[in-house]
Amino acid sequence: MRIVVDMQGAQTESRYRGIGRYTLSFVQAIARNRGNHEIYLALSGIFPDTIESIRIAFDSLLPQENIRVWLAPEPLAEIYPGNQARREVAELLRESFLASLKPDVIHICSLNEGYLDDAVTSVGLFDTRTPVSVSLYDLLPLLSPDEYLKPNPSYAEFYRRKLENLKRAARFLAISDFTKQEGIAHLDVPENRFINVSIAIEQHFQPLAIPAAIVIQLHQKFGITGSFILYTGGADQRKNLTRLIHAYAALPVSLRTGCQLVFAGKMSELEVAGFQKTAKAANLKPGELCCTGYVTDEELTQLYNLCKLFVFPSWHEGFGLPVLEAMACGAPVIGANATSLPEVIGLEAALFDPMDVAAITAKMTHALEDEVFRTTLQKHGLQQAKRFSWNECAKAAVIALEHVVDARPSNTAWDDVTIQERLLESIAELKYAGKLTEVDLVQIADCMAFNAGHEKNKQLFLDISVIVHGDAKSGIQRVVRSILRELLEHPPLHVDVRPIYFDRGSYKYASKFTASFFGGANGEISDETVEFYQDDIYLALDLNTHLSVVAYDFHMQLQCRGIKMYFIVYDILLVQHPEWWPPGTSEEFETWLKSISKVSTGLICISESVASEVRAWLEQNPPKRLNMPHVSSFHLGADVENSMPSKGLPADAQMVLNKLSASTSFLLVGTLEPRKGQAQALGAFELLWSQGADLNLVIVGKQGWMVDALVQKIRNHPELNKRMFWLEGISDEYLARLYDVSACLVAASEGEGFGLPLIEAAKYHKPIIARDLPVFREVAADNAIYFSGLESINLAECVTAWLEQYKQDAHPKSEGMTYLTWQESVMQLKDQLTS
Amino acid sequence: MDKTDFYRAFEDRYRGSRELIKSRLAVYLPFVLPLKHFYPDGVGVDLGCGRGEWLELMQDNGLNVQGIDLDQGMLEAAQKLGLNAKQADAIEYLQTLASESQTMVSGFHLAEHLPFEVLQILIQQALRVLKPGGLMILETPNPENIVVGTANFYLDPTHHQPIPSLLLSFMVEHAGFETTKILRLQEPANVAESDSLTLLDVLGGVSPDYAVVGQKGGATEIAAATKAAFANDYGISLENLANKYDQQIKAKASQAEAKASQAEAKASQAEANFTNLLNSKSWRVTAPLRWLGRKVRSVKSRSLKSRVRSLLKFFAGYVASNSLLKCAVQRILNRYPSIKVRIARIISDTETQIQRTQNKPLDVSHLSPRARQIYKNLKAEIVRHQKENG
Repeated sequence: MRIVVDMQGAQTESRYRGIGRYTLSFVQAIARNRGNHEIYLALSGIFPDTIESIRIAFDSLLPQENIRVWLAPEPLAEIYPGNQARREVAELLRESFLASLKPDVIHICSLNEGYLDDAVTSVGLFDTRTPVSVSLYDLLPLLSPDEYLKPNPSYAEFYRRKLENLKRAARFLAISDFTKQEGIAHLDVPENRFINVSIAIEQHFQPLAIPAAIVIQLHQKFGITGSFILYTGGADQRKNLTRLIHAYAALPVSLRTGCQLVFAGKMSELEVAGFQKTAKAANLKPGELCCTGYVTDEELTQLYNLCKLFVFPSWHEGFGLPVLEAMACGAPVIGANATSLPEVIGLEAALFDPMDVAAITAKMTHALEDEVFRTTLQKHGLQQAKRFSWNECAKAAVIALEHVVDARPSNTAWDDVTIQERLLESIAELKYAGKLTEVDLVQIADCMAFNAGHEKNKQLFLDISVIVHGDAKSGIQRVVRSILRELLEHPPLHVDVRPIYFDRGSYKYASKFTASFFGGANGEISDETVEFYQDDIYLALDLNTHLSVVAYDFHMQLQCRGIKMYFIVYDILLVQHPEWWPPGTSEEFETWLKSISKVSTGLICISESVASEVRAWLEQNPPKRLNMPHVSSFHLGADVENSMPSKGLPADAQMVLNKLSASTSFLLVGTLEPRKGQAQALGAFELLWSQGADLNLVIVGKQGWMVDALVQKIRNHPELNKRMFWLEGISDEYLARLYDVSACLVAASEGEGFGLPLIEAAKYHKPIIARDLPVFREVAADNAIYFSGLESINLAECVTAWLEQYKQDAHPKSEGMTYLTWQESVMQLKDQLTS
Repeated sequence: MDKTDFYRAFEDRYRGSRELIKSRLAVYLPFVLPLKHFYPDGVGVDLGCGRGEWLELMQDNGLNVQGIDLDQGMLEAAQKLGLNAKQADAIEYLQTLASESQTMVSGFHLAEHLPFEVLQILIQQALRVLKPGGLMILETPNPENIVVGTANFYLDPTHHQPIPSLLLSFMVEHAGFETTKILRLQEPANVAESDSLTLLDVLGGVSPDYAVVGQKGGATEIAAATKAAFANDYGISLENLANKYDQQIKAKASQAEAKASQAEAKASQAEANFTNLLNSKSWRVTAPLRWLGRKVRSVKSRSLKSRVRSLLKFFAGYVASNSLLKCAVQRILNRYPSIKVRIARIISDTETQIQRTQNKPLDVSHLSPRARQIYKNLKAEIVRHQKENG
């Protein structure tokens, strides 16, 4: 059967209190103990910050596709009357979304959400077919209305409505037998709907040996001076702390001296002041009652371990988790003989009448004086704690859910069309439908579209914002066009490839651009807003530093909503060597790199070398998120023909080509930049020329930046246009001719992301002299000769050595180099996206 | 005015009226009255009896006490009232008394007029002349009261130095008295009960006087009879008063904090109400009008601005594609960061910034085709339903 779990209890403010943490542990245990059943988690998209941690919590327990996000318009908190119409719509949206997951049973971890926050829960307002089970923690407001409901009429109304919904549930999973009995007695629903599945505590509550240094630290931090009696668990009236203070005051002086009463945990200033006043009136000395304020989990575990006695005098509990925590840590525990505590403590002798101060004093005295009794309590507590485990709770819950499903006749599951139609009707039928504003309606429609999910296939979005806005025909943009073409022609199985671009705050389909890309007309086409659904994939093809800053929030939202975000990384040279670029450029790049590390599911690099550099960078600059992006690599394709080569030869081309074919010519291809090594190459050949070598050096590439000195040198060089040539801005056709007449390609760059020039050379069957970089090794392997060092002499020596081998035809040939076609390259890319 | 009258006039002004002093002295009655029972014919001595308030009180209560003073002016006043006072030096007089002859020896505001060694002798002599169970009472200003200890004590030029209560009490104990008690006295009535203490209260509200009462041993029955008087608490100490003041301040601070939280909560509520107002129908209804107004205003200047914008965009694109030019422009812009920011903003369109923080569609035109269809259907359905049901 399929169980769908509403996880809002772990998403609202409740997540900072018991309910949130226990929701997570409980559902994790259910996932572990599900047997053959399917588990789906429904997360509200109104709390995006909570989604990542929940996904990670279930990473190894459930497939990621089973975690589904739904949307509703905001705000919804019931405390503000203006939210009413919207909230009623949100209730229907949520129920219809859950129904669309085709559940056999729905479990709601926390029903009483949505008063102060934007959560929304309901039972049977839209879906009356699917049985719903609800976790039942307590009925305190119902049973103590004067304290919880009378002071706050709007909360009373909220609670009343929640009870109405609660009564429509098919099963109540109570956290204790007492809560179960309370429910039976006060909810006026059939008894057989109640099951006690119990509850458990976190692993870290256990007996520990606390080192003396920590003990001293704790004492100093909280003002504890010696041994102490411990209480923790909030300051509500029902916790009965006033009586506890009086009971403590009535202890025999010999027991009280040197044994404080400690209230651990955050209490408001007023509450603390009240307790101190009570203490003073009871003649306690200052400091005898010690209120610690907020304590971390670790400190709490330590306090449980260090206390002499743990007292829990509450007269009304749904369970009484602190009692279980204390027992699990091996503290001697005594508690009230009321409500759920007897079943949790499980030892008659440890109980007292919470309304009778003398009885509390007597029990405390007994425990403090009688070491044998204390040891009994401790031993019993440790045994008792073992009986509560998440696995047991989960198993009981699963059995209960199985029963409720078996008891129902087999349903026809909802079909999607019916759900949408019925949803429209139900919204229109709402009493306050007329109060919905335009903005409400727009947002409702948007949420309904998202919640409905794909009509057909998953989408693979290719973010080509840069080339849509203007193609500058840079190297990277040629790669983008090649990948785009390849993916459009050979999309992954069952996936629609949709090029998109970012425009004024949202994404649009690049329909116009795509039409003209293939040479068609685009006059009639308009670019519509993109529909993002969970399970879709987003791939940023280009390096767009500006965009990722502006679109960052949008990207984060997509990621929260279950869209996988991938970014192609060409290289990270800008952060590794900012000195190779004009000042200021690397800051922008670093911002981009930081933002994509935060938002991405995966970073796909164009070589394994870049991938290891990225991994190292991430280790040194860990992004603020719970898990790291996945870093992988693929290789670019090398079929240049597909990138629409340019043509044209300048007037003096033939003369140059003749000169070059006359002797051994070395080719250097790339923009003139500090890192490309042209300066070193020129220096090397100057050495060789001074030794009388008859060699040509051809430098192909436009002037880049920070190379003024080099350009001066070239322009004024004696060998210019004799044995050294500098060709700027030449066509692909001219470059092909240059390759033909050259003997060897020199790749002297100090840093590259890939190494397309090497592949180019290989296609022209030209041997290669390359700097010994990991990325060049990755691309060329043994099909090149390598040099290292930044001095001219280093390269000169390598060239000389190569020439020796060349004369005997013993030099490494590049023909053996393997490279990919764009089809193969994109195949690798598709693998990364779908794995 | 001659010297004798000076002191009387001084006392009249600063020590308080006779009646007031007598009423204060009543605090000692629980100590001395039992002595009447055990020594019906007993006599006591009051050293430095001054105007004779103590003598009068004792006479009223049937106790026989001889008063001694050096000051003639004071003595005259006492004798005029028929009190038993004569002129003598305190120590000399004590030395003339027989051992174990007195039921009580008292000295009110005497000790601070004596040098330390003389005071010691006085206490020793007092112990000698007292019968078993007899009492010595020495009252003196309390330097624990900060105003007394630093200023008021010195109003009387004949005072020597302030005597801390622990010192006097120790002297009495050390001399051999079986039981000693410190009584803090004469604090203003309202200070003890006040729940809004001021700093001045703390500085000057501690009991301005104190007394040490010592009882000679050897008479268990008398000791039992006076036990209750010795067990009581008297007066206010500096520590108590300061702590009380602290607590009141803290409580006020908590109250203020609570009020601030309330105010904060109110402010949040007001904010929420305001947001609701913005979301409310009436605000939304007028939204198109306000939007229209804005557009009208911007259209006038629109043409120039939009021309500039598209020009800038074109140049930005051109510059970006030419690396040499881009480098040069960057170098220039880096020198004028504010201009760089402005250009960036113009190019990127500020609208993007606004929508960036919202990320939610606000208008039908922002919806995808599918969502737009749902919107239409939804609207139609609502309208239809409203019509059917009036």
